[in-house]
Amino acid sequence: MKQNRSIFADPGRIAPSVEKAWRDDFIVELRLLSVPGDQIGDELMTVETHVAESGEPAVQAFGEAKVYAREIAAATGAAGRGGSVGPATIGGNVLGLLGMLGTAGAFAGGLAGGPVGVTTGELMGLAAVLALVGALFVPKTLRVIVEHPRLALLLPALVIGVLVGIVILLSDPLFTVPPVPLGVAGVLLLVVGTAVTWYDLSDDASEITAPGEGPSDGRRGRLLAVVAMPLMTVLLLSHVWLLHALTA
Amino acid sequence: MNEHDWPSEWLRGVLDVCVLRVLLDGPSYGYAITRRLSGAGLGAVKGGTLYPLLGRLEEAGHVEVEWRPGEGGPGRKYFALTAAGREYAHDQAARWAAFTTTTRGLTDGALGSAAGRN
Repeated sequence: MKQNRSIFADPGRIAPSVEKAWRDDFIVELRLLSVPGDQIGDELMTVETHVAESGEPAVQAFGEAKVYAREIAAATGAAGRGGSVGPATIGGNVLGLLGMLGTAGAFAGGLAGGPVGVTTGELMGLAAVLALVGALFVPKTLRVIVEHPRLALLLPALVIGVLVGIVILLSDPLFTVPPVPLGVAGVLLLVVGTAVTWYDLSDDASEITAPGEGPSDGRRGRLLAVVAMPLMTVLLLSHVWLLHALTA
Repeated sequence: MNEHDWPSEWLRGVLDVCVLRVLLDGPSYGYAITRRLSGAGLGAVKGGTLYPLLGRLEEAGHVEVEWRPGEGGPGRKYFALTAAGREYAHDQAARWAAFTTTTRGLTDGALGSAAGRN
């Protein structure tokens, strides 16, 4: 039977008899433990069949979702077997980010008709942003964000505030760069970052599938993930151009 | 003795050998295994206890898993003993029998003294 399932389909479809809150906690915990998507689907279906046949709520039959997720992941040896964040994931995103900022800086310099001044504040801000991007891909950081949602909301605002302050306070140019080489380097970094991300997603096994269910056609999801950085670059360039047009 | 009176520590110790014994009769699925254990007088075994145990048996190569389509509902995950698992099940049953003989050799004396008190 042909399946028109999207890669963004709700994994909850596998276990409709299981309470949503329990199901979500179970899936998130298995994700944090880097359990492969097909194994998560298998365990979800196991809970579904048991709950459907016994008539018991999942919490009664299996206990707390997070605790059961840890037990079943340890028992089956599935923890850590799924996709985890590796150098390619971090590298692709960091290169893409550097490419985006370099291209935007070069474009702004080109519009202004002079070299691009790089300040101490910008360099420190860039280093902080790169460190944050890297930290976001570490499973322990993700667990903190998932388990402390209020902190996850407050912290980015605080960090952005501090970064803006640093950029404004340390605004004296440290050195200058000609816009053309900077632009070429930016575009190259963007292309390499996009290629690395595309390669990194080629063996992605994170999609949650039910037993006997093949992976969906993931090309659309993969394409969206890959073009995100180039798309953001185009938006940033439009923004730079708009600001230049308004202030000229 | 009421089945609900079995201490949970005892059940934890004996559950492996009992599940292996059930599977010696042929492939079965989780809920049916819990019914069989309950019918044997072990009380209600929760899915949260049973499936990690089955997972460990599968990981050790004693059990293999097959999803079979359900009748109008979701499929069922059947657990079947492998050749090594059958050997392991027989071995565990024999060791459990020896263990209970040993412990009863000690504890049955208490039954006599209890009868003497009454």
